[in-house]
Amino acid sequence: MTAGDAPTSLAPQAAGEGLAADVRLRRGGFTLDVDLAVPPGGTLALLGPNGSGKSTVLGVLAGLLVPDTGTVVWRGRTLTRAPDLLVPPAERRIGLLGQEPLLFPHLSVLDNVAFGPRSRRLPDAAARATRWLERLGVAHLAQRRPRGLSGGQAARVALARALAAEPEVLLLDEPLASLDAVAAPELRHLLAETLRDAGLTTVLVSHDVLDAALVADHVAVLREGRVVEHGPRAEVLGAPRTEFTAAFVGVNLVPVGFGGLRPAAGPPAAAVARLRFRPAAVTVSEQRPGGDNTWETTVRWLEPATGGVRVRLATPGQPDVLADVDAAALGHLRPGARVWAHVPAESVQALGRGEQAACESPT
Amino acid sequence: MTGAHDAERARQRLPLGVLVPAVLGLVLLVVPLLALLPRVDWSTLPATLLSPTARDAVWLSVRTAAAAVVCCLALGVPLALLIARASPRVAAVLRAVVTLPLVLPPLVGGVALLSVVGRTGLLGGVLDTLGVTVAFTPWAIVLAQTFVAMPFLVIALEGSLRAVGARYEAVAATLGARRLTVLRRVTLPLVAPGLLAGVVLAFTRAIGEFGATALVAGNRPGVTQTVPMAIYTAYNGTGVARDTALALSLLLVAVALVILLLVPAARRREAL
Repeated sequence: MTAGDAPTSLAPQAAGEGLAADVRLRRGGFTLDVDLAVPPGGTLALLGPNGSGKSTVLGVLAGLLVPDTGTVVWRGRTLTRAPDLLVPPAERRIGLLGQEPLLFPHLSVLDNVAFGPRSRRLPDAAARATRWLERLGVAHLAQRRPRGLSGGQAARVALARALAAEPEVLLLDEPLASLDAVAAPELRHLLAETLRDAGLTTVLVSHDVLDAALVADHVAVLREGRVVEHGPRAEVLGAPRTEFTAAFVGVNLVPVGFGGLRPAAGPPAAAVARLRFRPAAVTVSEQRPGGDNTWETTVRWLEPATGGVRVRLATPGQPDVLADVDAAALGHLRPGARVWAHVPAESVQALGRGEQAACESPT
Repeated sequence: MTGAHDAERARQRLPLGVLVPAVLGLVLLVVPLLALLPRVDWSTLPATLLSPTARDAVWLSVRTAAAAVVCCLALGVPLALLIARASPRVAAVLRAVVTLPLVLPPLVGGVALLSVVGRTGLLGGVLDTLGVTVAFTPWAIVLAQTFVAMPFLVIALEGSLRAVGARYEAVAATLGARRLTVLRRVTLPLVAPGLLAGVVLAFTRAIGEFGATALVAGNRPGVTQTVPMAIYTAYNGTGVARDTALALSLLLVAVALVILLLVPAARRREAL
């Protein structure tokens, strides 16, 4: 992918054929103001911290919430035109799979999965349900009650139930959030596989970048009810353009001039607005190292990271910088310690002023 | 193992300042009912309960209480749904209104009902021209029982509806179920335990109803004399004998106790 071919949002014609929501909604002190689109068959990952409005967006798409203004359109058909719910949830064919499986406790696993086909009066509801249970590897649980299922089993049954209703759009609201460390990766891969096979238009809400990387082809980042970034996955995750997204996906993004940093290559210096580098490229030492691209800073805190420790470095008046260091090399790094940070010039990437970020492949 | 068990026991042991009043409270509630037992003439009990007066009263009570429960279900279930889905402010007002008959003296309820269906009441004239008489008929008993029993059903059911929440209903809707289907296949089955509790409370309250019934239905043997009325009459020394009062009282206590003990057992079984 090159810098020129990806606009910040999806092409309007794609939005018109797929799922598009342009809505505003106030609830107490919270305001949601989003304009999102997913092309037919595409998967959009909606990322953001808790309280950023991700689940509210899903509620609006499913027809469970009515926005104050705006519209929701699916394949050219207007589903919601505020303040009217033109098409009720039951007639939208938009499935919703939430954080909790919410299996109906009074129905067997089979009847849970057959609930959708029966409600839609599809023929052979039980046979359809059985097929989905088989496909998700839980057919042996058909006669059980939801009460006795493990978290992973319940999540599979809930996914089977959502898919058996034959939705055209599937909304996933952190479906892995309630699973333990063993069940979550298993289901993550099953989900990715199933979504690919089913060819559904999907919106996946997550605060986990991995979910997005695995299943989504487009990513939107939500912050305090607003979309701060929206584009192809590789672009948003690999080359974030806002500090917020950068912090979210674990990449450093600083204004030009920060710490006297210079990139090894890139646009002419006058055109450079921001600099980007990975936490792994940063080295932290207690003595001043020689050479350029070095600045003095303070350790704010330490947190665990894969294979080592992530150090958050605070520089007054500047965004925090993340550095990944070996646990063995940690030395006397403690919160409050004065240290020196260094990034090799070839690891610093320059971002042009006001233009699209130069893309790199996601890792 | 034993140690952990003992520790748990120790944690649960209550201070004497709690234990003593708790036992006194239990004594206050139970001893008067137990005191009925020695006064009952056990040799004549079957005959007393099978006497025409007693039989009529029991049969009338069972029929009217059953009818009242049906009325409570037909009106109370929709009312509970309305309150559970109303905005918090509206729900608070509705809940207060529904709870009123529960805290008012039933006699006040009787007076109020009479001022609606009595001959000079709000609807008395209309009912008269239609040739319908409610006051001092068995219908008045059903009306009075429904009036006092419905709050129990509505409050119990509304609590269940709130606890279940709207989340299952939302899932059902996204699976393609229309509102009535959601109500029939999801909401009502989920609140079945609450509904059962409500029905039981309403029935026991209806069958024991006295104050409102006395005013709006009167106390005609064989027509509007329910079990509580028969007990009252017997104790006043007119009509049935005092033995009948004791026997019928014992019957009401036994029926209520059996129902109250059976319901939790049924709910436990359902939970499995």
